[in-house]
Amino acid sequence: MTPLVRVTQLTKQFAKTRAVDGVSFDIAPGETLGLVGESGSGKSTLGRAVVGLLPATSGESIVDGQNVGTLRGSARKALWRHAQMVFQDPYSSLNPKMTVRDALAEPLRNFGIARGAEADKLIRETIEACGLPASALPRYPREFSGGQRQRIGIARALIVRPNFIVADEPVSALDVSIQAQIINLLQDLKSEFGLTYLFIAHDLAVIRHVSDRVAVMYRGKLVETAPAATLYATPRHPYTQLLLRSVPVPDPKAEIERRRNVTGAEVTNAEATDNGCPFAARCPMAKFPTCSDKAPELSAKASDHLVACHFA
Amino acid sequence: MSEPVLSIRDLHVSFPTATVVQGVSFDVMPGEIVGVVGESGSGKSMTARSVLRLLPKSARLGGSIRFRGQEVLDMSPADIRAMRGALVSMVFQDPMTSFNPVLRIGDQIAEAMTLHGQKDRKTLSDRVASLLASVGIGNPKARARAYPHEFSGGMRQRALTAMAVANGPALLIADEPTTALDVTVQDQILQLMRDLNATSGTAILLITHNIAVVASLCRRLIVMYAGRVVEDGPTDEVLTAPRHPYTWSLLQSVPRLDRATGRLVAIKGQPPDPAEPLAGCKFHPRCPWVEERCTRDEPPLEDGVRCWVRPAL
Amino acid sequence: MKTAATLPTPWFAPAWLVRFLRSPISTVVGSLLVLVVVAGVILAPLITHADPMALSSDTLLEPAWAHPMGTDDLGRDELARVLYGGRASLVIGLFSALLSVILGMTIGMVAGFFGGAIDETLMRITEAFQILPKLLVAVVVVSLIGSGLTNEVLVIGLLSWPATARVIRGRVQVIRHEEFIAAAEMSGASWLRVLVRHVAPNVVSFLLVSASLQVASAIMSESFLSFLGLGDPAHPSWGLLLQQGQLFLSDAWWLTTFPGIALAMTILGLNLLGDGVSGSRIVAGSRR
Repeated sequence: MTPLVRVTQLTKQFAKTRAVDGVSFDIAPGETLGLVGESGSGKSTLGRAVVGLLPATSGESIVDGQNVGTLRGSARKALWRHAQMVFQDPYSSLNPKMTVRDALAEPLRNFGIARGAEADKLIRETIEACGLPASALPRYPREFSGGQRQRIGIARALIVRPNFIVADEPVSALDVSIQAQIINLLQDLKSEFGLTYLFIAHDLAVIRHVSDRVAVMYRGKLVETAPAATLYATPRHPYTQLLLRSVPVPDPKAEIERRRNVTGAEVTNAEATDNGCPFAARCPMAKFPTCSDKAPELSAKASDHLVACHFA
Repeated sequence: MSEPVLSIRDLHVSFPTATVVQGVSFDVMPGEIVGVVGESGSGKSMTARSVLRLLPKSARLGGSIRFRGQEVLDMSPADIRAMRGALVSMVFQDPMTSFNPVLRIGDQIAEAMTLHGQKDRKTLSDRVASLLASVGIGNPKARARAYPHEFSGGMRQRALTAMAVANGPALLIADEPTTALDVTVQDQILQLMRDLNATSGTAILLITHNIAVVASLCRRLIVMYAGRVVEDGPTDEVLTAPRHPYTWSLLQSVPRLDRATGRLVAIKGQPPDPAEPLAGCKFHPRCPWVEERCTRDEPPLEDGVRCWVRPAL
Repeated sequence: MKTAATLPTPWFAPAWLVRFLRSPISTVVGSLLVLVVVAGVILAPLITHADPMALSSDTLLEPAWAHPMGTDDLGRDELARVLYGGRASLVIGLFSALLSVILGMTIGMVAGFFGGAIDETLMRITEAFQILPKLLVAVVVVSLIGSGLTNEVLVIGLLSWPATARVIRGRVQVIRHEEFIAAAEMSGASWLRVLVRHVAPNVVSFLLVSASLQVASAIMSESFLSFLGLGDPAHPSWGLLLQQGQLFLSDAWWLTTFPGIALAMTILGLNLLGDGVSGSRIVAGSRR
């Protein structure tokens, strides 16, 4: 099957740092790719570069047959007719001076999708699909809670009926009980509207729950990608292993078991260099000089299980 | 049975517009680690801050907070200052704003000790170095001369913990100590707290929204909702056999890392607005087991559960 | 955001003064002063039947029932001159402030929104304007192109926009990175629409402050020009009245005192109002 999204050697450089460094992946139509990493790993930058909100320094991102990297002006606008984004902060992502109706009408008007009664019908359908009543439409964002605002943000992305949505930490600013509502909503919308997601999060449990396939990012590079079940059962990259070992589990027995396997002490390898593997400095399995000489490429260790490690 | 380090009875915290903590009671025994779990607005942080009287001026406090038998709510400002840091200390969520950015880390930790009696410079700098070493900061003598911005987030939280335990407090209150940190660093901080508790017997009151963090660290778990304690019991019992519908729903609404989860059970609706009075059980508008009585009368906390129905969960 | 109550007190201001300036009372007093002045100026024909330009032989009369503010050296009623003179002052103040706020907002928004070379260029130009000795340049330009209401409005307006531009630029730089701007771009909005529909409404409240102070400062500048004899004699403003009155300072105190009071009331009122607005919810609450 032709992938809906194909990212090849995508790089984004800010001043001297490479926030995203030669990242490649595909997303099949209808698939959810979970992108997980710690703060500063470059996952948000990658998400924005994939849909052309940030211009890439090099490499390409092809979404729905259009090469995002080379798009300018009206061509980018045409892409956003089909590719949208859900943002992290439900407070900063809505214009405080715009009613919900105006925020949802904006894309319809700008893309020339619908006007008048037809637009009104679409707006109603969309806000209701996102779990808010039509009575929310004439109100301003400040009248809503964080979870409700996130529903409005999702409705704004959904109203153009996109086929691809980048969800950048869509639940991390929300309370636990509200997180579940939003995760369920995103999953329902996916099946109802046939969406494909790039789901970005730092919460490994959320990523496991929503993703078909998972990509792990560390310092601007992908270090491992695999189907969710495989990745969580048999993580191969030492960094993925460290991540999974570090998360406490809300089950006392399982938690005691987990802690038994944690080695505890943090490894620091002084031999690591900038040319080598990005994880070499913290890796308990690093062998030098191999790991400091050459950065490992992301390569298949099993079918559909790619790992960037010399020794995995 | 020894005397509790901290004993909170019928604590009320109210502001001119709303009551945010209502009738909270619990004890922390010496050397015990107690976790308080709740979402934003549950009153968990206000409860913790009341112990050190770190509340906004407009807050009104009622009930009783006894630290080693002494009533905190009757203490003079001078007594409170003497207690803070020396006997009870606190670690906050944001380790960056907890340090003064223009002073060296070591000097700030030393100052915390001078305030409570220690004067000799040599002893001080040795003690600072050994504290930093005890929280796992390598090369402590050199690191003590660093400024806060030269530390990573995890190192700042370690240093902050070192400062908090510098005077060997009997109780450490940790308010979301790992929320701003990456998981790998969170795990180290949790281990650090476990070690502190094991070696020096410091009791810990951990405030968090993350149930898994409590499971990892605490033997006792208190669940708060809308300013009240709704469930209180040993961690493994509460987590494996929750008795309050809210606790149960909360556990069902979190995806699991260690196994695939089916569709999440979302708790419908929003937490109640503390400014608008709500009759009966505060969870009843969101509770799947709600009965007529729940909408009328508020259930008492009995046998560690605040629920009329007590469904088989 | 800091609220008015938690702002530090400047060392030179007594506490009671600071408290007054930040209290809602000062806003009320400011609004009242401005209201009185504006009402007097607009309702001038109802307040006095005297013609401000009508000459008579009753020269330099002291204030009395017939002429509450006396008469000037050509026998014109001073009350009428102060009331009608306010029209010239306020019109020049309002229009030159309007011009400078529109210029400042446009330049500030474009600089803050696009950044990079555009920002650099615009900010260097702004600084160039800011370091000009404003009044001196105004004097020179007005003496070259001639006085007159329009010329004064243009000169004062074109010289006083930099402060507004800088405030707006700073604010836009913050808003630029809010997620709703990225969302607006992805909603297919052109850059112009993003600026007008998404950025502008979120900076307008900051303009309120700038605008009221701008009006005060423009009235002062105009008075200064008139005082130097560069005013429009066909439309006597307070500044012009002061200039004419100062010749008779020892003989006729009323010719300088009354226009002076009117001017002071207006400037004080506008400043109190501006400070009040900046500390109020309208601005503080616009963050979110």
